[in-house]
Amino acid sequence: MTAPLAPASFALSRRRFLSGLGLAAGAMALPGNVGMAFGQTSNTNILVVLYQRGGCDGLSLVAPVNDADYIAARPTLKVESSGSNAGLALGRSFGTTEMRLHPAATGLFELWQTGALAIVHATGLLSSNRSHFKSIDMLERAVADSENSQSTGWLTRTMTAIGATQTFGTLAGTSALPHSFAGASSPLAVKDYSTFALRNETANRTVLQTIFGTDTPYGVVGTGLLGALQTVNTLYPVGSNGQRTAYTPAAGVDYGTSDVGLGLKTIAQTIKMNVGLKLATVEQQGWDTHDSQPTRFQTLASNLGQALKAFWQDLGADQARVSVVVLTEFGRRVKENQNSGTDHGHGAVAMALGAGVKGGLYGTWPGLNSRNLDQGLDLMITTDYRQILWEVVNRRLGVSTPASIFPTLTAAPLGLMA
Amino acid sequence: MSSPSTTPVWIALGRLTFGATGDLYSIVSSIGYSQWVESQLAMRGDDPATAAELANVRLTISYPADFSYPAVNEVRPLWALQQSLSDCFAIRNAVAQQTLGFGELFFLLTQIRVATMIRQVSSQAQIFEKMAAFWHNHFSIQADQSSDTLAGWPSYDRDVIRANALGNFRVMVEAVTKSTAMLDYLDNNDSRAAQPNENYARELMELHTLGAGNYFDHQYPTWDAVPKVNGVAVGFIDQDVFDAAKALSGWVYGNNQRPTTTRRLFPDGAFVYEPVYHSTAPARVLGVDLSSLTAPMAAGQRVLDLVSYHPNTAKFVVGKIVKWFMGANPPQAVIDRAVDTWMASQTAPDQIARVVRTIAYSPEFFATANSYYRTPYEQMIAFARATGGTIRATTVAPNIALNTGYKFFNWPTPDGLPADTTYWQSSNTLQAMTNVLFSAYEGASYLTGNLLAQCQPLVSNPDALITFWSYKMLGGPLPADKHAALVADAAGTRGITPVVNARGNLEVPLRRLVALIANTPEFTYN
Repeated sequence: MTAPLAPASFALSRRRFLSGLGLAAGAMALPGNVGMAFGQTSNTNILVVLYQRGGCDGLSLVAPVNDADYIAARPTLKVESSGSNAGLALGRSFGTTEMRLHPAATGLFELWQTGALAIVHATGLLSSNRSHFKSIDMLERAVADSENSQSTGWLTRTMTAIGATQTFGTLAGTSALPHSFAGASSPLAVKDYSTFALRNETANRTVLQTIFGTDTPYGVVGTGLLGALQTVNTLYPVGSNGQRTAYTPAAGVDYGTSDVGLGLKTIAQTIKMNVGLKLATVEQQGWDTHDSQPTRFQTLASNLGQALKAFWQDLGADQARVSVVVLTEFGRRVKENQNSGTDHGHGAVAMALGAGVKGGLYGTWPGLNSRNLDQGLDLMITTDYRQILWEVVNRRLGVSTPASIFPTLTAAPLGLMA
Repeated sequence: MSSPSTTPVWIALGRLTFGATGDLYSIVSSIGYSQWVESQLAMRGDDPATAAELANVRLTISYPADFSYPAVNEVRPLWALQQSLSDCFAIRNAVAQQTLGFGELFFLLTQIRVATMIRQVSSQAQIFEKMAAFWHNHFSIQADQSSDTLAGWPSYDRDVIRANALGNFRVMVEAVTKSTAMLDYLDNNDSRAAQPNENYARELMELHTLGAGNYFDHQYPTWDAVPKVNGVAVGFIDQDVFDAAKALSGWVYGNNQRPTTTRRLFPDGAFVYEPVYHSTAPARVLGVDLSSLTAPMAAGQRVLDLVSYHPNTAKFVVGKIVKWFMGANPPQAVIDRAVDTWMASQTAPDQIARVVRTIAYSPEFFATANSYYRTPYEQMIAFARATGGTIRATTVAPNIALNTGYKFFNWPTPDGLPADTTYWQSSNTLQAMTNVLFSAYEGASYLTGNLLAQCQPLVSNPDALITFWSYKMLGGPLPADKHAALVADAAGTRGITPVVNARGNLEVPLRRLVALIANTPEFTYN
């Protein structure tokens, strides 16, 4: 088999990194591929991307509560202006259409009240498709329709653009890698550091190093794993009981037990390890609410808010360098179905949180009158989601032109970043 | 990575089975490859030894008393392999009435998982098992999504997937469409005339037949704009999905629904066509008008004909089958030849076996070793086969696969496990998989076996020992640097040599040695 070779600098930079680690654990001294020498003022900002998998119903998350078409289309699912299902008042409207957060999204509401949260409505892929798989694929490659030649994930391209190719430069807080990192040689995925360890690592390290090799993608990941473990072992040692020292979040912080909470906790832990993290992803499954939406959505919105709020509180002083973007592959059908659910739709909600974000409501509201609906069915998309990604990458990560990451995008920032 | 010096037949066997083994290689070398392939294509199920292994399994089920049911703590055979759909729905109904614990439903899935592991490791019908696994993933269902998918699971595995694994695609598509598990999972059971649920219709076209590559919603605004060949559109748009949903509405399973005030569908989980739920609104799918098809199920069956016999379905599905055997970038010539076979045998009862035969006899099939990257689960099964292990049939065994991040009949979305190998090559998955291999033969893990008995005369000679296991597991020697590293390791404190003198229990260092070989890219890439 002919496997792609790892870049020649790869093994060298890792070795030098590891040899330096004992002397300066925590300080990043990465030669060569970060594009700036240790000690210079460097961009230490971090971007976290949270994917809501399955297609989050934006019309429930940020609901146009007094819109007559909405009220008519959602007889059982609607978020209301008052009563038992009253939304959390944002104090913002598109024209006369008042937008409210889903009542279960209390964590998001607290973040909103601090001014750290920006909400963009009626955003999404510039494509008419309603397929999960095609939409997720396009979302993670960050492309428009028919941009088929772009095979790498958008975070892979961003990673290259900002020079974050070293171990811990990127992290997926999930057990497997999202497609956003397609084409990257060795991005790290860690769901939970407490179980991130190799059996008999000391005894096996040398021989594993040789038998993994670095001439296959698998071998490169294995080699990266051994390197990452050495760092983690230094900061969170495995005790004589075989357990790794646990991470303790800031006082009073409760991530909950959801997958998205655990993923964000792992990312916060990595940020505090101070090992040069620049790009991270995490995901929340389960937004494909074709049926039983009320109970499912309540749990999802509650977990999302709790996890993001906990993450934000946990960051403490690191808040100044961390920005979060929340995305989903599409919104859902305006008209609810007969199973207390919603089918695949079009326009969705995206959010940005944290450093540099100017809290508020963004986007252009197209309305829900059937004349204004996409294909007569769905919320129209008035903001290309790539504008949000680009604005954050540009303002926070210091990339100056979109060409290398979003080649077909004509930048038109919404102004949601300072 | 330099490939081990494997022979063409070893490469082909690695592809057609869950892992080539030294023993199988000897058999095939003696009877001949084509003889072996033909006997494989005739097999449809468990050989006697595997049937006996399955019959001897006893799994523990235990749960505390609650509601109206007593505590259960007992060992049981794999009853689910024989239990009918209505047997399983009787369990579901008892669980709903709280006279049995929910653990009974989950136990159905556990039994099928354990049986699957045993069959993939032990069964002689390896091509059959490979194709059963392919179809499970192609028609992917999250088995633990609901009580009904769980209750439907034994029947889905046996009567839908395994019954058709080497059979006819059109027949299989209809069996899948009518299956309780799929009707529940993709909501066709909830579809009603006034507002058909389009979930199944969409995935039928996008995932099961035509494929996402033939979804043209962004290219063609209307039906008429989509190009047609012989009166059938080359691909589909959303309108086709909406209308296919109309055609398939009324295809449900009995679940206490009340189509009319005087009629109730018996909750036995059995497929039934319910005319009250069927939409009679005009429908056109792939450019073909369905409105004249008013006989029961006629419109739905016409939709299944249109998508199952479509030439673009042949390209999509056959391409996936070839990748299943050969990895992500197979030679186009193999796909083209197999597509021709598929199209020429569309109505043959052994259509799929014929397609596999074409693939297995393609000259390209014997070339290019190590083109397929195994998932952690496949790695576990291949490791068992390569080292002569037997599945330790406990409820723990499937959980070990799940702990690597592998979804075992419970991938949440209907697209099935990712074909993109990048997904499986994460540091998280790799560390979990590595740990599983190192502990595989320990009491709390998933394999039993005796490694020492296989190599006793060689243990005092690390060089010969490592050569022996390399041939057994890889069909040839490891690259020299890796071989040398293992020989050097054998002299270390956890290696073979000192243990011979010091401790005497050679199973432990041998388990470590075979796990190390299984961690080489030469093993991980089949």
